[in-house]
Amino acid sequence: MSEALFSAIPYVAAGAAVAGVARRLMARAPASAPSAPTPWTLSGRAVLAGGVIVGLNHLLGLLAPRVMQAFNASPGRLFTLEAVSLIGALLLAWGLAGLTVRRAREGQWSTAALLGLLFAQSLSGIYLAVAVRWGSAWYVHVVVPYLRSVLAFQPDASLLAQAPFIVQFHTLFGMVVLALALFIRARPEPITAPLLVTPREETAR
Amino acid sequence: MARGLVPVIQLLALVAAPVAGAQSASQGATLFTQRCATCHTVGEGDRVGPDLHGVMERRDEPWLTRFITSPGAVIDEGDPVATALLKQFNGIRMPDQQLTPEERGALYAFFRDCTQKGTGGCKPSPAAKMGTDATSEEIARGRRLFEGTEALAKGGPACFGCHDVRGLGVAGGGTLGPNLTFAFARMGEHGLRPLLAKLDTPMMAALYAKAPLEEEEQYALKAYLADVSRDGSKPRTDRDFFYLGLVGMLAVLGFMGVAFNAHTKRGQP
Repeated sequence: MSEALFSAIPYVAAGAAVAGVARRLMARAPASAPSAPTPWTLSGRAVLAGGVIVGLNHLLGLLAPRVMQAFNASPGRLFTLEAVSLIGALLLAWGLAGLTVRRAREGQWSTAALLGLLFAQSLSGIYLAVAVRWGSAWYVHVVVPYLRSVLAFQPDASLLAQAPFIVQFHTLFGMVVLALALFIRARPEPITAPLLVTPREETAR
Repeated sequence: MARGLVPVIQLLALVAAPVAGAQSASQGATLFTQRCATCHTVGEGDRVGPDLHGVMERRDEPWLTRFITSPGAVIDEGDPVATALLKQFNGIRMPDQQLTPEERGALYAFFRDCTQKGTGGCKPSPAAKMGTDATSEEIARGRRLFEGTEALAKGGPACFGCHDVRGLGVAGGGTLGPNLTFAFARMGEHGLRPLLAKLDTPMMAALYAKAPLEEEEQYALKAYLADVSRDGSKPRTDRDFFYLGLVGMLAVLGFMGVAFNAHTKRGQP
């Protein structure tokens, strides 16, 4: 993958996300806020549980790489972390697949497309976790330096450029999907339902 | 013209002589590590055979050449020095060493160089020792370094995150890099030693640029890889880990379904 992509994509994605959020703020449209608690499907709960596990794993490596490296210094602990993260990723993928299908059936195509992209990203993460294990061990040495260099506005992908394609894809596609998620969910039009609950469930309330 | 060049050539020969000698001693050091260090040291005491520090001063060169070429023949001739050595070292006969005159010359240059440096001046690099000569402690240390249970001195990442070796950990090592179970058998001492010293593959060069392995670490890892290269156990497959995740996911979904359905039913009037 070209070095230019590693330098450009993070900032283009961040720009798109900021533009989407700014557009929403300027339009001053009301945010979606159902007045009463909304029932959750099993898919929604799976996405929430899986998302928290996967998100914490990624964030811990980014914010405290030395802590993660110290934790992974035992094969037993590394295996436990990887197993929990894989279960989280599978829950996330299963939940996203369910929500994508239901949104598509309800005719909410933009939301379905967004959920579909998140599903594809979670699938690439699962493939990576299984085929290029142990991700949490090499993530802190290969991907985190790149992410930190991006945050410091001095992108350096020298290590990531040596990694297999699936690692590069998962990293860059993750940025694109996060930006799209913020852009789509920050539309000026009022959003009538939260992302993880379908209209069918709301009418059943 | 030719006559005029003679003094220049002699001068060049004089200038080049120490360099050639140093090269020769260096080649001798390598040869010593490869062929002699299993049984001998230079200045670190006796091992299976005698400490060879000062051997060029203790024995004359023709005798040494005869002994190195065929120790058995010298002993059988009834040579008093060879007989005394045989007695001192528990009757263990040194095997014949088929060395070329150049190799012997390099070895002698190394011994003379060591005498000049004094006792302990020729302590070999720990990484230069043969991987197959390691003690069980050195192999165990190599395993700890590979797994990451003992941190690398300069903070580099442990091998385990990216490389697998049979029989290691709960489900083996990582698969970002190649499986190293048979790395020593495949690459041999001569391939693995410089690789561990330089770590010059595209990924590792960048990863260890600021955290190279220390010489003792290089040796311990090489010793461990030499040891595991004799492993014939069955490798684990990636799908085992995936199935574990699948079973875990189904268990969590089952728990969620039961827990939240029961909660909803209890909440209903």
